[in-house]
Amino acid sequence: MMLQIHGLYKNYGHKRALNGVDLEVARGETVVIMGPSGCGKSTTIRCINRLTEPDAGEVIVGGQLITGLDLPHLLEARRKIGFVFQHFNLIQRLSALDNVAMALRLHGMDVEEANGRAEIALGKVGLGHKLREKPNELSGGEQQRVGIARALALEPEIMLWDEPTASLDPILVGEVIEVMEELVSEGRTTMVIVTHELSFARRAADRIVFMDKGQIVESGPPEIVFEQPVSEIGRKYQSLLRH
Amino acid sequence: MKILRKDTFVKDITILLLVGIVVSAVFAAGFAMATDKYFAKAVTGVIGDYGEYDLLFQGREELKTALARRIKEVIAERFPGATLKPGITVAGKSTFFVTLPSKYHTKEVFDNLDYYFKSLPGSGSFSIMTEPKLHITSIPSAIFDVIASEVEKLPGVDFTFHDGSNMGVIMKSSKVATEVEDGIKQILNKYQILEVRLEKGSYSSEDLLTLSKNVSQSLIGIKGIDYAKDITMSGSSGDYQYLMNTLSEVKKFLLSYAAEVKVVPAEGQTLEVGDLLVLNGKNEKPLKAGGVMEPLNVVVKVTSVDSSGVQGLIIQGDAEYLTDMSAYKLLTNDKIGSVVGTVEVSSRKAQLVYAMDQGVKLLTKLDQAVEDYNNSTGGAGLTVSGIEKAYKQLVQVKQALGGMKSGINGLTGKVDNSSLSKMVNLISGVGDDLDYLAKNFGRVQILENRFEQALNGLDTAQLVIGSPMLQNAFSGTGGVFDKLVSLNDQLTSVEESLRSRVQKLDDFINQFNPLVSVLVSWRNKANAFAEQVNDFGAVFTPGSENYEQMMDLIDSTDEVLSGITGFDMDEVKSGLSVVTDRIFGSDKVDLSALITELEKVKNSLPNLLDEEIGNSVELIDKYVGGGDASTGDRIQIFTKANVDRTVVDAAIKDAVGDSEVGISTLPAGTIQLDVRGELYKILGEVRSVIAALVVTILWILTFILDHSLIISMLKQMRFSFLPKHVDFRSGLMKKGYQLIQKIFSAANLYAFVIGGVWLVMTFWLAGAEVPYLQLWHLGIIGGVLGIFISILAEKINPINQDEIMAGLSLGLPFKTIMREIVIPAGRPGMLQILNRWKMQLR
Repeated sequence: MMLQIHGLYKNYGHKRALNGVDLEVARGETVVIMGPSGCGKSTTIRCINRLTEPDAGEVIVGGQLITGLDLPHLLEARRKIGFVFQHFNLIQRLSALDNVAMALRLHGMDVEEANGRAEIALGKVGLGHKLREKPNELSGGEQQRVGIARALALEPEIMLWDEPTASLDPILVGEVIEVMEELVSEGRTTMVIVTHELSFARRAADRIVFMDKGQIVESGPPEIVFEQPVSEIGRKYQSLLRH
Repeated sequence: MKILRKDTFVKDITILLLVGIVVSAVFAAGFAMATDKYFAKAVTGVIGDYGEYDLLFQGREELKTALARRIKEVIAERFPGATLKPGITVAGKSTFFVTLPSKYHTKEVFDNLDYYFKSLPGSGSFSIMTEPKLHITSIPSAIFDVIASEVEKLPGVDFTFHDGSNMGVIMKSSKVATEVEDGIKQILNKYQILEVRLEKGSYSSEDLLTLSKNVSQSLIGIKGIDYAKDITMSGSSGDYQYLMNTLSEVKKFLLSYAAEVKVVPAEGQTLEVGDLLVLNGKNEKPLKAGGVMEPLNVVVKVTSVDSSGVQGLIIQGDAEYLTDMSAYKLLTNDKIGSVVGTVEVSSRKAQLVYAMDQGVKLLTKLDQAVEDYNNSTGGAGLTVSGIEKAYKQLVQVKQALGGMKSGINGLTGKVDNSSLSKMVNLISGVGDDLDYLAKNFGRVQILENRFEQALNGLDTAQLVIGSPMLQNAFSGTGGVFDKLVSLNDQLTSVEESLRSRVQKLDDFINQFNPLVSVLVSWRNKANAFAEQVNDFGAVFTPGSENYEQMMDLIDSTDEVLSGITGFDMDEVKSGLSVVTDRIFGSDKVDLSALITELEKVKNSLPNLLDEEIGNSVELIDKYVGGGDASTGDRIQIFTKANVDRTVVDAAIKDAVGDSEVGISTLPAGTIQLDVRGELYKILGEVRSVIAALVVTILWILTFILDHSLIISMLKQMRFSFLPKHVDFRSGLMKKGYQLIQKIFSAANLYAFVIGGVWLVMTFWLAGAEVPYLQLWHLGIIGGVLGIFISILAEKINPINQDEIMAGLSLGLPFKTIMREIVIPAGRPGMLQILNRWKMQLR
């Protein structure tokens, strides 16, 4: 298993965000997590690389117990976990190339090699021609593609996507979806994607996980969970898909 | 220190802190120094360099030429070599600076500067600028010399001088200013002024003086007190106190010179202090109840009512005008009320003038009598030699008589013509001498009578002048009292001297009176005999009348001679010499000088009416506060500071007779740097104050630009030194813990510590100072300001959380996130400059 989550709990003050999440993702598998806003989807994937510190539970990535790591080891472990943010989270002062090469260089890679890998990553997401542009000179979709390239450049074992298209204009969503589907189709990287894109989920996901109120309420292949949902949330998505 | 050897962000902060402190301190110190130099130059241009000038004159602009001329005249006359330099003219006032040669930097010169420059035109005045100088203020004038003598003994002190009511202290060098100041403080601390506050209006000035003397004397002898000086009437404002003292003395003199009016209230009448009584004076119409007071009436104001009776003061008219002793009460609107009593007036002024007149008259008579005696008798020698001459002549007469007796012819009864002629001539000569002798004795007797009269007169004069009433009245009135005492002493001396002379004269007269009468009797007999026998036909037959008379004369002559022989001529001469010596010789009383002195005293007595005296006294009372304690109803005693206050307080309360009286301690003086010195001191402080301002500004800049970013980041990361999760059963305790977590968050602690350390270190390095604030105060202030910045940090220097999350997701450590993401995105400051060396992605 690439990812194992056992009994994950997280509270925000008095509000329980995660209420005993258990999830296992196989190497190379693409899992799409869906559910209503506030159900704990983003919290779950942020707990995987401990951008959000869980209150209890275990997270194991590639056999490494992430929840038991000290800070230096955690930082090291994060290099293997790519993360794509909803708001792109680019460094505004840096060019697209530097944004992508930054982590490589800061982890010790020499400038040329890092830049080369960054160029490849950017080329992969279709931005080979916009290496020197700053984030504010790029469209939303392009910025998100830089974000994807930044995560890819580290060649992670697992990629976590936190609603990558939620902040995009509907016109720009397609270009990001396209990149995502391409990456999924390569099948090299294990992916956990939080998204509301039903069609994308249905096409790209190996497994759909429905969450509600901090718990996983249903999990299964898209054709099953969308056709024969057993959970209330599943039925709502089925209804949405039919319309 | 291990953490500083590693490449950590703590190291970055430490470097930022140190560099920030050093750079800020250097900048602040440099800026302050430049500003200080600018100000110093500007001030020096206006008031000269430190110690450059000694005197600063100022006067009206339109008379500046006259002022300058006068200053030049004075310095040319008094201070040759001194220089005059015109200063600036501001607001119609022109200034001049004078530099005195160092030889004039003496106590004598500085104490007399007021005298030298006493008449400057254009309302000109001057102040002393000589440096280095200190001032001691609030020194009562009575202890000025005590303090000055001790201050002048201090090493480093050149001399002291009177600078108005303050003491100026000129030092030998500005380097010893601190030592001198400390020394003066020690001297001042050795002494204290005990101030006894009395109930307001409870003492007159005179009573207050007496009380203050009693209090000071009561303290001496108490353990630890060997020195207690009454300085009640010599407060810090010397000139005012001198005026008060003078007025008090003048009032005392005037009252003693005024008529003493004793009011005897009529049956059932009561009088109060301040009541006005009207009496008949030079007015034509007699007073009548219901009438209106006239200007020629005599008016008495009641001044005291006590157990000794009712006393008053004539405030209109004079005691000599009084024609009737009935006193009418004066009502409002000058209406005359009923008779309220009678007055008994004793005019001390008239008594004194009378006594003086009598004294002068008697002494003049005495002087003339002595002169007459001297001129007529020629002194004792002549008198004694007259007696001796008479004796010799009598012996010759006796011999002549014996010769004549033996030369009688037994048959005819006739004597030898030549013998008879010789005897007659002798008797005639003796008779003249005896007359002269008798007259001298007569004059001695007259002199004795005059002396007796003079003694009686002097007794009367002394009775007046030396009377307790007059002596008491004039006690403490300075010159007049002294003259009266001196006059009385001289009259006593004259009286004693005269009395002893009269006694001598008496003795002399008593001794000689019988002899003189015998001699006169003999002269009469001899003259009768000489006339009878002065006839060549006279017969001296035994049994005849001539013969019997001759025999009788012979017997008388024997008797006289034996009387003279039994007289101790040396003793007589000696006794008479003593008398004459004392009257005319070196031991004589200088009556002329005494008369002149007495006339001077008489002429110096004020020619004042009682109303003038009364009104003057009222005027003085108004000025000095109605006769109340003019010094503010308090007593001041100057004494050592190391006394047992408990004992002293008890002694003072006992002396005052009031256990509730308030006693406080005042310093003997207060050190004050002179204004000019203060200005230079302020100029000296300008640098440190400006440095403080610059440091404060740099602190604010540093925290806004740099440290607020770090604080923001610490807040963002929610760093805390306290455990994040602690299980509390009580929700309240949990909230309390969260509050403590918030207060003692890493961000707040960082802000407090760095804020305090930065401010203290930079102040210290820059030499910055803020009056009244010590470094530890600044540490707290810096910490509190740091907390303030911490509260606002996220607004002052916001952080892009998304960028941080990106860094975290990429596995970047905190220091890298700071160096590569946070700091470059922050405000430009020292942190960014220093960070540039650490950044990889520039």
